[in-house]
Amino acid sequence: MTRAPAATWGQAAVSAVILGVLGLQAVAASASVEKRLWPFMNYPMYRRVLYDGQLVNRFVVVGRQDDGREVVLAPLDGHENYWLFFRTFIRPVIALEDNSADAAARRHVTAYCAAYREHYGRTLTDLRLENHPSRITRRGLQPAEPSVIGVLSVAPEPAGAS
Amino acid sequence: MSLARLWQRWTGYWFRPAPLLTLDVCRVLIVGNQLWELLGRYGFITSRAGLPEALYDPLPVFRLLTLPWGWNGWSSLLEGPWLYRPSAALVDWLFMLAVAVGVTALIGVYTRASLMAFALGSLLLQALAYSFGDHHHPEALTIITVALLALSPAGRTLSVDAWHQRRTWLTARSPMAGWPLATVQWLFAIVYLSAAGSKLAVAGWDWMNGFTLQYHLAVDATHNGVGLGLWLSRQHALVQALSWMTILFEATFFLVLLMPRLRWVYLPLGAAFHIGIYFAMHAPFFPWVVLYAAFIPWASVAGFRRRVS
Repeated sequence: MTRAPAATWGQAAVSAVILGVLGLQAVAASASVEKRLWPFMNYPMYRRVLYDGQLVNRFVVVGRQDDGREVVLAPLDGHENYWLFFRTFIRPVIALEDNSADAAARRHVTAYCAAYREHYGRTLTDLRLENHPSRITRRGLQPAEPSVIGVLSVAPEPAGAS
Repeated sequence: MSLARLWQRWTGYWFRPAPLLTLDVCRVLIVGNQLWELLGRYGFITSRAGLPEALYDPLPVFRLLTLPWGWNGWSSLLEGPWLYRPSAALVDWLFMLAVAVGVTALIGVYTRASLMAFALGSLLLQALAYSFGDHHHPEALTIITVALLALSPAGRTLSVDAWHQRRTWLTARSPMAGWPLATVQWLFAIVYLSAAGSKLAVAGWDWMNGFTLQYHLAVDATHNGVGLGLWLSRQHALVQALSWMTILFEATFFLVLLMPRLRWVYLPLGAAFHIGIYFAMHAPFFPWVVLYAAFIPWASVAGFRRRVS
């Protein structure tokens, strides 16, 4: 019985690595694995299709402070990335508005309100979700009529309340 | 086809002797770029240490790398609460360590060990940064590539290691020198093809109607304050033409694997594509342009002759 040379075993091991890497990338690219296989990812950016005259939503959250002042809420320190802000605050507020929020969405909104209090020294009492849509045209995006989707009360419960 | 014949064809493709110099030129370019990118992301990575605990949802690869400290049951390997989150001070230390091994990987001191440590450090830090709800695309392929280089005979020509051992075989070739770069080429083919497939599967041919790309340009350009992107988003006919070019480029890039000479067409096109996207939308895919180095036969370009290691 002849034994395989060491070079063959080396090639077999490297072949397993090649197949593993390309296999993981193929799975990540073709299946909905989100970020579970990161750094192997899918690349579906900009795939949403849009048409002439279509309205595109742009959501804005306006916060009412405990001093009555209203402010358009924006990323805080550490939330410097808009998409992080959108995913961890705007989207959860939308979910709370249409009653599809899960525990994580509630946690994210609570965390933002706490961070806001810490950052600005003011407590948010209400969050007003507004839509400032645009219409797609040959000349680019044109602003359309804004609307209020709803108002959420986020005032903290008074100390000692059950 | 018999198994032996199949194996012969497989090894003939992946393990045909390739110049070590090409591998090392790629190492220097890719590691240098990753080091530069990592230094540029210092603020982004370390600022994550200050984000609220409620946002902390480690990626599975981060959970795997910190397994002994964060283990919280089998289900926690993929999602849910994880018991370990590094302190801001530790993240700082890890960052400095990653930069240090990045430098040694770049200049070629204990090259393969440095490459592996740099790949792990980059993976850990980037995975931590993406453990708070958002994740992005430009870094992943480079990190995978650095890990592949660590498993190759990188560092045998352009390195301090080679100089120290007085074995600077600039003309040497090795059966193990070609596969990491060939794997990167295949990764690009899969990534581009899937990007085109993803658009066509969801949107069909309508993706090239011009309005789709006008919208994406306008949104990204508005968020990032890019004048060129805003101007472009108002040019319907031009954007429609760019949409077709994008799909054609992504869907046919794999042809470079079948006809390597096409690289001289596709690589400049791809570089223009990614640089153009940056100036129009601020999507930073420069690392991919550097990764194109894996397609270029550097030793032939430099005119070195064959010598099997």
